[in-house]
Amino acid sequence: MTQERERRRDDDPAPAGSPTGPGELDSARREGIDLLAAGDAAIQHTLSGDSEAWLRANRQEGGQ
Amino acid sequence: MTHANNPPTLPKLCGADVELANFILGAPDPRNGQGTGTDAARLLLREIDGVPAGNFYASPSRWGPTWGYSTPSYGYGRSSYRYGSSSVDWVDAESINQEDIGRKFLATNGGCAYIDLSHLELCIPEVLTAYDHAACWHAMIRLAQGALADANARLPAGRAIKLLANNSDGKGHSYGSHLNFLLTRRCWDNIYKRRPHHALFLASYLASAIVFTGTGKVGAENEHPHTGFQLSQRADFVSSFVASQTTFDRPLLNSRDESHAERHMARLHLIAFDSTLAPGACVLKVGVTQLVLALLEQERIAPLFFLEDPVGALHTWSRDPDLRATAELVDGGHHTALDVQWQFLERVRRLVDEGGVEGLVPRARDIVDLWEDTLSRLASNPDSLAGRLDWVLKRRILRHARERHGLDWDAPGIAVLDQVYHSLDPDEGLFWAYDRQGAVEWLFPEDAVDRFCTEPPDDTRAYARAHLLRRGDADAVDWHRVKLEDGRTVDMDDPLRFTRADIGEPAGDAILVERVLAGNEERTES
Repeated sequence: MTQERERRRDDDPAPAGSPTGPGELDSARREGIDLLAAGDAAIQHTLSGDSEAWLRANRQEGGQ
Repeated sequence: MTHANNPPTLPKLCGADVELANFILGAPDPRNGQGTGTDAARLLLREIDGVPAGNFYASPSRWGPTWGYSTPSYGYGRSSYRYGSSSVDWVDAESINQEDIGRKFLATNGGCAYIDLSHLELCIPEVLTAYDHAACWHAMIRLAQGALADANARLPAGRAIKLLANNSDGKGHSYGSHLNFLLTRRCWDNIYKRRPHHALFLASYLASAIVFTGTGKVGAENEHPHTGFQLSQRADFVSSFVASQTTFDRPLLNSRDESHAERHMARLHLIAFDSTLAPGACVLKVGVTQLVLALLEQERIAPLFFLEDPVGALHTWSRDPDLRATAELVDGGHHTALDVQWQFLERVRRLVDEGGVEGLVPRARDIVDLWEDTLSRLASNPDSLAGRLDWVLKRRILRHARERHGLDWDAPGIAVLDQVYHSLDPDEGLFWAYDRQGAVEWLFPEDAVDRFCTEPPDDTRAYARAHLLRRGDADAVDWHRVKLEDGRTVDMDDPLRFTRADIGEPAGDAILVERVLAGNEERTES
């Protein structure tokens, strides 16, 4: 079924948002890099905290 | 008149009850290792204005003599109660139902908030569309964010309440984000009492849907084998196929039968989903489920893709973020989660093309198109879905952090990043940080969220509930009724009625009640 699906996808026009050519692939790659760079400060902020203290404190007894 | 070839149908109205993780960083643990969750939840709930559920949820015959508060006055239209210090005046009697403490309904949008065990729980008002669900959920998040800021402002320096919309603390404790869908009684009975293949159909959908409903998790819990990153927060805690319980040995299909509605209506209580933040994932989770339930309700069951072991498949697929793992079907074939989802999509599209969901699932074509685009991109370029699916965005963040900082999957920093992704503190949560950079795909205008912060949905009974609560004379409130101080009880057993179209603008308090009561009388007579 997977192969059949992939064959069909090869014949179909690319879905909206998917990169199709080299230019679009480069663009998607650049967007990916920009996305990750954008979050660097937030990641750095989290990692600069006391991870062990956070993990010790977060205990969620009970839950449905 | 209904018969086997023309089963009854109902619009796929949806509600949700979502437990949040809460704790106080920097505070001593007063409960011998059980954590600060209970105290955090109490401090947060105090900051939310609402009308107490009253004795609908606290009658002696049902829950014991008290429902936990010793508050003198607490409600919309009255002087809102605010604790002036950090001390907690709290009745902690054993007779309290610990799964339903301090429930209060919101006169703003008709939802409610309470404490379930040690979690602040938010209940989204009933909606008809997946898009309204997502907007309402984000409105409730804003409410929680306001409560978080207010509660933290009262804490001494060095302490901070943390509030997360996720489903696991990484220590083996899980808490739910339950979705509730309106079904015909016949459909509910088919699933749980009469036709096991209907249950298998639904379970096969739910297990494979984690490709878009998962929010991603580092590591394994609940005695499952070690893994680095998995799709779902909740999968490790689903261990049985069907059962009524929700706190242990959790089932894929929960058989709790609590309709809050008329006898011919049932409420499907789905407990296996993750707490999604990404609006796209929220819309897909609700919208696709609505469409699959429309298939089920119309008894268009195709046995071609029934999973041999849906719970086992859920575990297998959750541990395969590359989406290549297969699970066995009843017919002996082996297929990926995407394969199974495509099968559902093709059948749903056929039903939509035939007009089979008109009046049942609003914006069905938009949802199908979004679903198809999502499945296609999951197969060809999953990273392109970082703005739509939580697990994709989180995986990209964690991959980046691991490479940049040289961290293993087992590193404490990675575990914290996994949790901080879900923090509702906009200055802390990674989801919000990426949203500020424009990385998140919003499928509805921001003013939809603004609106549900102050107004109820127009097209369900939440409309009448919210406006009745604004009168300021509610003595007790439940999803389907409001008891007034003068002794009258306003019943709203049909969640599809008591809408803006039914009762119009609330021109005056008396007129509003009369319209709702009159609507019931008309219905009884007809």
